[in-house]
Amino acid sequence: MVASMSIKLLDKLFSLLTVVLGIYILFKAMEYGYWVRNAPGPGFFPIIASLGMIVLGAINLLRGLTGKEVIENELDLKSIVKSLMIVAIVIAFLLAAPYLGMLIGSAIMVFLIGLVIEEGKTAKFVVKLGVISCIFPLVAYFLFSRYLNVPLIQGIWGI
Amino acid sequence: MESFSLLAEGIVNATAWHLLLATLLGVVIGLIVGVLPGLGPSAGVAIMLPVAVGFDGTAAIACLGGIYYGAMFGGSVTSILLGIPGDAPAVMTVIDGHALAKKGEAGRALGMSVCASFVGGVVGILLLASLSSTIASVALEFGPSEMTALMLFALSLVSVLSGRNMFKGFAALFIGAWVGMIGLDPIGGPPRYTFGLMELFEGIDFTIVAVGLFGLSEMFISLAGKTTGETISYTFKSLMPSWKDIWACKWIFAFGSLVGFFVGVLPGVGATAATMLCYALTKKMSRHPERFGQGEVRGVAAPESANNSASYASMIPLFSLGIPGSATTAVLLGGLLMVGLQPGPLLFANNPDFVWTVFGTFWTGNLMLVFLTIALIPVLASIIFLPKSLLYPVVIGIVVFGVYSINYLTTDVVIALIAGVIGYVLIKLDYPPVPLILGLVLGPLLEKGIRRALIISQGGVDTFFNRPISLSLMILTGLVIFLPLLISKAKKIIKKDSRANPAI
Repeated sequence: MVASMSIKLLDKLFSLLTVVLGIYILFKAMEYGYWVRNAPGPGFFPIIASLGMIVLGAINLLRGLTGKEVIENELDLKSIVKSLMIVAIVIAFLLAAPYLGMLIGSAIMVFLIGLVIEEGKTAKFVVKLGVISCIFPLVAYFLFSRYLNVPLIQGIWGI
Repeated sequence: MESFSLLAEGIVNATAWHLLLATLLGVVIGLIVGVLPGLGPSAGVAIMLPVAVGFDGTAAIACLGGIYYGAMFGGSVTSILLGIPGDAPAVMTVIDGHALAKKGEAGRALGMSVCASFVGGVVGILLLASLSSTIASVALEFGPSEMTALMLFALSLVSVLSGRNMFKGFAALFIGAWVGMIGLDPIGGPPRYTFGLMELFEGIDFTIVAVGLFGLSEMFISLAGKTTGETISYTFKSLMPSWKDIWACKWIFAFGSLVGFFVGVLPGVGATAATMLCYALTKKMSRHPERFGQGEVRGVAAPESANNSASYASMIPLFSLGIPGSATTAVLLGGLLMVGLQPGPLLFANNPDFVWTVFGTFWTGNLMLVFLTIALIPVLASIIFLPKSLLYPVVIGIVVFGVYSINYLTTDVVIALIAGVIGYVLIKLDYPPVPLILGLVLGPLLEKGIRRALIISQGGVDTFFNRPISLSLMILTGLVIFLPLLISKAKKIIKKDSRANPAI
């Protein structure tokens, strides 16, 4: 029941956010110019998009408030927490890349993501994950750096 | 008929060893590039350009062309297995392809994809060979008014793709259209909604959003299920394609190939728009539209035949007129110039052997891809049975590197992550992600079309109605929007009348 109430609240919040975003887009669009030299200006299409977002956001909000909107999905705390942890790990990897380098950083990133996802962490699993984490940077190096000539970010050790 | 005999000669010439090897190299590279999320055929062609021009002229273009259509085959693999579009045109394959894979029918989906791609390729090559000059001159008639009308027609089909809640579908469409407007204004130049960030001046790459919206969000949602390291058993038969499905979809192959070809030939429209239009039309015309999105094989057959056919169609403006219609054909144009050939109307007259032999390599390359992918299907299909805790870290790692490889910017990876989180929220709240992508891709094309048309006509809206192609598309759009409403209204009236008067 808590999950069901949470998703209804999230739905209303999202609809409200759509309306607010639409209003912001509308105000900025006015600054860009609606009609310039007998033709639509840079603000013309943003105005249409913003009006669409405001009207439809309001309709969805109203449907949520009046109970007409039925959402069968539920919020799952486990997947939310794991997803946010994965996002945090990737962002940490991006921040650490100038120091560790993308290759070394990716080994750590892959290992940590695997640990986050796996629930029953056995020694066998950790070993398998460790091996994959070590092989991944090598594959990434040959594929992206050597073969595709992508300039990967190097760390303080030049890797 | 002469074109077909010239094509047959070209195919015979294409079986020379050095051309077969060049084509094989191209298709294998194309397959790999297509599989990697974020990287598209234009990246693959650009990377191989310095290497390929070291070959003789025909081999060089055979190799580069092989990368292009090879990537179309490869893009569907990750779309089906992991729900991550390998390249932009593979987005529509995710919807039903991945749904089939989740049911344990990845082989069925991959087999359908291979067949559809092959048929799309065959139809595309035959039409390319026989209609190049005619189509090229008609394609030139396609101006901003016609582009606007085509985009309006495509967007009118969003109601088909909105799922249960049309209000949420259209809200997603407008959100996507706004995201497509971020960056420099395409006509006047001022930056729009860049929040002062230089990285957003060129806009947000559609592929980055698609990878996050479909791929990352799908992985996030599936974390709710079991993630322990159990191994699921499967049979070899379940990994192979179904011949019954392939025969049942024969008309879809033909329809998808034709739609893909005639939309893909238009400069600036591309295979992505062609696959979206084809999928929406197929769903609309189906007797069971409710099955689409739940693992309907027709939902794989339609976009796959369209995108392969479109890849050959986009060669027509390039070879016949010297006009590249997409980023990939622009790089191919560079390749042609580097080997000393000037594409355009005289290419067919001055270098007929070259042109028909290159078309012949498209044929042999298409065949190579079928055998390669069918041989790989059981291996590829079994990937999804790997434990998530071992598979997902590798996939996320490849996504991060793949997205970074587009513009060498870490902000792109952040955008993909944000798109993944938003995609998670959208799916949980029943907002369909497809209209968002539709708005992101077609919105900017529609804006460019309308604004250019009105600039040329100096504000006169009759420009959309006094040109025959544009008028036909506008009428078609009107029918798509209003005809179902009129039919529904008529049915209600008839039902009401029959209740009032049972004798009818």
